[in-house]
Order: sequence, then C-alpha cells, then structure tokens
Amino acid sequence: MSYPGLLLLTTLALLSAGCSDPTEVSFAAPRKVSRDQRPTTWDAPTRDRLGMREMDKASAHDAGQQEPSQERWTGTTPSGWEELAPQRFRELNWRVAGNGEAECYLSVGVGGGVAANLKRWYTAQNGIQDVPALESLPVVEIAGRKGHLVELTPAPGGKTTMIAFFADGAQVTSLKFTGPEVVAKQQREPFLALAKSLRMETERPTETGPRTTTNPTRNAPANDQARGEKAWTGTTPNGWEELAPQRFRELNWRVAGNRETECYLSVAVGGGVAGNMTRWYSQQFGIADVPKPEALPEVEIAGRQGRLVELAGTYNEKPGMAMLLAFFADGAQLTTLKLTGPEAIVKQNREPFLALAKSLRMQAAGPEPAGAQGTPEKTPAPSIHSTQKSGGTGAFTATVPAGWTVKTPSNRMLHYTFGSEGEVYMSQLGGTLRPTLDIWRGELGLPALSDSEFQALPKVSMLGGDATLLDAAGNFQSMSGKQIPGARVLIAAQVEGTAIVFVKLVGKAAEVEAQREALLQFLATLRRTP
Amino acid sequence: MNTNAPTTSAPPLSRVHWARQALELCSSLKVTVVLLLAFGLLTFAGTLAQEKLGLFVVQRDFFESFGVVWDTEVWFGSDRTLKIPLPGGYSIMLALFVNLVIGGIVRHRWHWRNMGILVTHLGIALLLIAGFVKLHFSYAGHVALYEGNQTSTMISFHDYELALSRLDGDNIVERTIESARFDGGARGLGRVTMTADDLPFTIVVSHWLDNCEPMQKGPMVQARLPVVTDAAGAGYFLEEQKVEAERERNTAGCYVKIVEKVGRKEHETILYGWDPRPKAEDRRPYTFRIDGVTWGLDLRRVVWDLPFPVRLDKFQKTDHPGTMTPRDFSSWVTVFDGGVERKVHIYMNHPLRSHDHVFFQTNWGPQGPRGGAPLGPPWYSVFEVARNPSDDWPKYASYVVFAGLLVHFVTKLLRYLQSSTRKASLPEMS
Repeated sequence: MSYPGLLLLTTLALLSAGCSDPTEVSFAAPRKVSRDQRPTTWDAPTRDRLGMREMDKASAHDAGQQEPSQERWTGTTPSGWEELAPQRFRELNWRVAGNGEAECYLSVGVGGGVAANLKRWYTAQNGIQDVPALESLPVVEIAGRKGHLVELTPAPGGKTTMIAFFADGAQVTSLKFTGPEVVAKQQREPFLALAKSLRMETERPTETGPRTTTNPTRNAPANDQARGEKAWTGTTPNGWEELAPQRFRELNWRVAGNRETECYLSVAVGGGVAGNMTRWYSQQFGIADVPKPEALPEVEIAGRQGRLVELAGTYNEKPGMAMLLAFFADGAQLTTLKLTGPEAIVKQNREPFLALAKSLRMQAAGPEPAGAQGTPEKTPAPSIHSTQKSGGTGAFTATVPAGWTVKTPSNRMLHYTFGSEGEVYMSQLGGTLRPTLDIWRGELGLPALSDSEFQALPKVSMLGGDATLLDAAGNFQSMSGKQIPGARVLIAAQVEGTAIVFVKLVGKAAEVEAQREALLQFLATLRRTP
Repeated sequence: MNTNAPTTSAPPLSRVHWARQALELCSSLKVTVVLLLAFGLLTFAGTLAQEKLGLFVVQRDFFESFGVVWDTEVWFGSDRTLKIPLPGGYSIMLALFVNLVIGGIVRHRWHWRNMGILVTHLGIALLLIAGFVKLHFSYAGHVALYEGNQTSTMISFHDYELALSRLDGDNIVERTIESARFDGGARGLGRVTMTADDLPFTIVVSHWLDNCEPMQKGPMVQARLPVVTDAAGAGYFLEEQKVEAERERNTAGCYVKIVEKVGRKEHETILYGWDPRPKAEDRRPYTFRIDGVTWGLDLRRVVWDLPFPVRLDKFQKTDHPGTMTPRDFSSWVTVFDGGVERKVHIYMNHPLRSHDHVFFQTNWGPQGPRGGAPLGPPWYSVFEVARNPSDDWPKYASYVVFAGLLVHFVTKLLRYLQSSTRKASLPEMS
C-alpha cells in the first residue's frame, strides 16, 4: 500500500474512536401543533398507556399476581329477550326469545374507524353501495353517550339490521340487531332502550395470590369461565410452560427455558386445508411440493381424527428449524396445534406435543352448564365437554328413530348410522350459513346456491327455532375422503351467534329418502339440555 | 536603502513542500484506488455483519459512520473472533469526494479535449453530494390507514423521541429530543438529564432498553429493574427482551424521573414506545401536573408532520388463486393539497410524489387469516413515506456522467480517426 494511502486510512480509522455519551441534553425549541394533529388521551391508566391490554398479558398472569382491573359491560335485557353467553367479539349477546333469527350483540372497540365500519355494514354486509355521511345518521343514546343509528333493510320483507354505535378515535363500539323485518320493527324501541342502558363497569378482582395449579396444569382462563364462554383446555406437558393466550392463539406454550420454541392452538383458521398447507409448506418452509392431506399421517387432536405435518429446514428464513403441526378441518376452517423451534428440541418434544394434541378439549364453562340429561340410550353422562367421545351423549337429547344405531366412538355431539353406509350426526361449525351450505353442496359436486335458491330453501323446526333445510343429491365426497356415489344429503342448519348448529344425514339416495321422515321426527324431539 | 521598508518574503520552502505534498496526497490516483479497495472491504464486512446485526445497524455503523470496529464473529465463529477497525462509509465517501474534486476537477487540465472526463467527474461528485444530502436532510417513515381515515403525520420505522407536551388552548405545545442523543448515556447505570430554562422541572432518563416489555409486579414475579408504583398502587417494571436484528420489531422503553425545580418533588414512571396505530390514533402520555399545568411525557417513534393530509379511500388486495399469497395490493388515496383535493392510485412502482415526499405502497394489515371485511376486521394499508430533497439528484447525476462519457468517447474516436487519416496520408506526402 502506498505511503499516502496508508496515512489516510490510519487517520480515518482513528476517527472511529467514539466520543463519550453526554449526561445532559436540551430539548429542541417548542413547537405548536393543533390538537387534531396530536390526538392525545391524557391521564390514561397505566395499563392502557403501556399497551398492556393489547399485548400478551405475559407471565404475570400465570404467576398468580393481582389481576388487573377488568372492564365489564352491562345492559338491561328487554322483556321477551333472552341473554346468551358472550362469544368472541360479542361482549354481550341476546336473542329475541323463541326466534333464532333475531339476534343482538355488543361489540366493543372494533378497529377501523367510523367510515370503514359504515362501509363494512352497508356495502360488504348488505350490498348497499351508497354509504351515508355520519352526520346524516339519526342520533341515539348508547352507553350514556351520544351515538348514531344505522337501520338497513336491503330487501323488503328480508332481514333488517339496526346498529347503534359510537366511536373512540378509530375504535367503534356497536350494538347490532339483525332479524326479520317484522320482528325488527316490533323490537326497535326495546333495542334503543337496551342501547341506552348499556354501561361499562370497571371491577378489580380480589387479589388471589399464586394460583393453585397442579402439574400438569390445565390452561383455561378463569375470566372466560366466569363469563360463560367456551374455553379450550389442554394438559401442559412436563417441562413446558404456559403463556397467556394471544390474538389468534387460544392456548399458548413454550418449552421451558427455550424462547425460540413456541406452541399454540389456533381455532377456526380460514383458507381451507389446501390453502393452509400451501402456507405451511411453501411460504413458511419454502417447500414447493405440497403433499395431499390424505398422504399425511393421522393423529388425534382434541378428540378428533386429524393429520400431522412434520417439517424441518429453514422456517421463516431461519435455518435449522422444525415444525410439528396437528390439525383438523371443519369445512374451510382449521383448528391447528403448532410447535416450532430448533430442530433438535422439536424432535425431543414430539411425544409431549402429540400427547398435548390428544388432550385438547373445548370446554363449555360458566353459567350455562352443558350437562346432558338423558340420551337416547339413557347413557349417563353429563359432561362439560361439548365434543364427546361417546356417541349419543352431550348437551343435547333426542328420540332416536328406529333403524338408527349409535355410533361409537365418535367426536360428534350425537352420531348414528343407518342402512348400508348412511350416517346422521349433529355438530356445529363456526362461520356464516350461506358459505357453509355452499361447502356442503361442494361435497356433492354441486355449484353454490344462487340468491333465489338460497331464499327458497325450506325451514324445519329445530331447537325451538327455524332451521334451514338443505336437500341435495350427487356423488358425495367428504373433506375426510369418504365417498358415496349416488348420494343424497339432508342438512338442517341453524345459526346461533357465530356458530352453525346442524344435523346432517348422508347416505345412498334411496336410503336417505326412506329416512327423511325419521330425520324430521328426530329434529322435532331434539332438545338442549338445561 | 531604507531598512525599515516592509518586505514581502516568500513562505519557507518546507511549508510549500508540505502544502504541495498534501495537495499531491489529496489528488493522488493511488489514494483513489486505496479508497475504493477500502470501500470494497467495508462492503464485504458489512454484508457479513448484516446476518448478525441486521440491516439497520449495519447501515448506521458501517456505512454512515466515520469508522467501525468489525467483530468478525460471523466469519470465524464465536470462539475465534477478531476485531478489525475499518474506516466507515462516511469517511471513505468524504475522502473520495475531496480526492475527486481536487484530483479530477481542480488539478485536471482544463482543456476541451478533457471536457468529457471533467463532466464525468462532476457527475460523480453530484452523486456523492446527493448521498450526503440524503444522509443529513432526509428521513423515512410510514403511514398506516384504514379506509376512510386520514392523517397528516408519518412515523419513523426505527427511531424514538421523547416528547414533552402541554395543552395550550386548541393547540399542543410540544418539545422533543431524539433518543439517539441520550439512549447511549441512559443505559445500564447511566443517567441523562434533560432540561430547559423555561421548564419548571428537569427530566432524568435511565435504564434505556432497546427492546423490552412492561410487566406488572406480583408476588411471584421477579423484577430485574426497579418497580414503579402508579397512582392506583400497582407496580410496573420493564423486562428486557432480546434485541431483534430486524430493528422495527423492537420496542424501546426507559425509566424517567421528573424532578420539580422548586421543592425537588419527584414523579417517577416508566415509558414504553409502543404504537397503537392504526387501531387507535391517540397517544397516551404519562400525565403529571405542576403548578396547575398538565404535562404529558411520551416515548414514541419519531413523528413528522406531512405538508398535506392524506386519506385512504380504498385498499384492494388480490391473492394468487388457491393461496393466501398476495398477487397485488394497491391503494386509492385523496391528497388535500392547499385546499385542492387530488385522487391518486398508489401501487407497485407507482408512488405518490408531492412536496419532496414520496409515498410507496409497502404493506397491509391485519396479516392474520381473518383479515379483511366482511369476514373479519377491515383492512388497513401501509405506506413507506420518504422525504428526500435529493430524491432526483442521482438521476440527474447519471445523465451528467452519461453525457461526460459520451463526449469523452466521441472525442477519443474523432482523435483516433484523425490520426488514422493522418497516418494513411503520410506515405503520399513522402
């Protein structure tokens, strides 16, 4: 190297010696901005200020420390309405008694702001392109605040939606009623009175001290139980630690002492089996060849038959990683238990993972105990599990028609067989009715329902309300691969909150025709156990 | 002879010698080569270091600094590390600029035959100046909006600032300090005091953490850092987290003590630099009152005001069939520019440019499987926004370099053709 160059480089390298950090600094000159430009909530509680409500509630919860104060919504239930257990995204939940189609619920803090939510209600949900300005909507009182009212009836004689709402910044709190136009007109005043009566109360639970958990622990948030929600439980493997649930993670663990591992349960993930397998294989592990689901090994998850995905390689651009993923599908929605981490650790924890998958249960908890009364076979059994291992037990009872045989074991709520390969079962799914009906038609190779076909579907009585009856024929191929050429399907489906409760009868067309009346009798005797 | 008459003596020979030596050094072609080699080495080291340190840190420490000590852990393995001091990209570029200006322009023979080379050097100098202006006078951040929402601020991806604010009628009076000015001194046991003559208090910042989570103290929860009790009696502390190489995934936090100048009363709290946007627009500063005046103290990602408000009218995302991999996503926005509304469609390679600001479509949310109406919450769109006064200068510099090289090669060609013709005519003359 030349002398001048060496001299220059030495000088430059010497410049790399850093200066010491200052111990005193001054603020920049003050500047004035409008309040609109800096939306500010003054005196926010510490947990709000630090974003702890939005974040992982972290290990403090499990360690049994004092619970943070909880917000609880209350409202005066109108006479003739019945209160239902809260659900995801429904802080409070009602329906007009005896009318399964008229429902009302409170959603708190939905993001997106007023404009985006108006667009969602008008255009996306009701097909109305002209979204009015907020100022043009009638003013109502909701939760002691000034709010606005949306009333929508897209088609005469169809469903009416009434929404009373207010916004805190970009977060919208809304009380929404949907039901037949006639019912909505009758219930307009009770609805507005309910909106007016809503209040948010803040309560601080008593200090509990360390939670008396035993090992293995059961991961079921106490608050959820108190609110009567359905909570998932699972037996935490030895050497694992529970973490607080997060958004899209109903249950959450990691291998103790290894922050790189994570294992969590996700429920009702959309996109179907194919879409999700592409995501796991191609997007997360960069594997182009995605196998068919049938090629995957079978595994038990949450008392049901599922499939197991085992992958190793570069995960999300991190080499030396592995994934174990057990899943089952309800239509296009998947429930998955996923373990990721360094390959060696994932391998070591394969058996504990499979045991955990097997132990998963969805538990109906809280004020709506799901104990079964009697069953067709008079099997005892009130169980708090909504998915049952033994046939004919669960939170529903019905008179079993002659010729139907209880199927055991089964993961369905009620499950029977008839004829050569026919079966009837009762179950429930997340989602909305029409896409689900289209999925069932898809199992027969039929196209989606048109608007008029959907409107023309007959109703049958089920669980004190009207259920939609789908009657379709074709070559049946279920999501799990079962095939019945020349099949016919009868499905009675009823929307309950965000779930669809249904009874499905499938078999050879001639056998199904013979069972049609039996099915209607079965539906008429179907009862929810108190 | 008047001996008192002032005389103009020539500078000492040695001084002339050194000045000439310095000029020779600055304009030396050998120095150019050494600098380019050093830059090559720096790029090599920076590329390797990026695996461990991440893009942001490497860019800052290797390419925007005067010097850096390269820890070769990635290269040799963690058990055999070698620390090599290297000149930083800033000092190399500075030296290269001086070398270019003195050697390539000032000391170059100004003759029409060299015009192409001179113009080319001018173009390269302009390129280096554009880099300098970008480094010192530009900034970049992001804007995230739900459909129907509008904003007139953008937020930094990486950098934090401590913002002190108080209400003043319909306005907020705000003072800020960028964290880069105090986070080094406020780490570990360090303390940095912030003050201003017209403030009735000083602020002492300590326990700066690049990535952390706030925790609530409980009987079974061990706190490694001090626990601060809030007005409701609950104790909180910051728990340090591993610093991610992707800097935007980190959330910084610190402890602050506000000491009143009169009475020395202390208000102590923790600040956490999380951002609720786009779900919520509001900031939630630590609020305290002194002499009836309400103050707010906030740790936030640096906020810049845009010269125009922008509203997201529509966001559209389409996926490849049968997958959740996006094929295309784009946004329709309205720009409110001096009372005039302008509709702009922003999509891949078609940014919005206005008032030195460039909006690029960069992301969307929520990214979970339930995103998007009507099945889930509505979409929001994310734009990377860059303000760079020298945004177009590299383009102009390229034109200048191209023109210079064109002139140079055409001149060379003409001279070659002339000399060939001359050579061909020589035998005839003889």
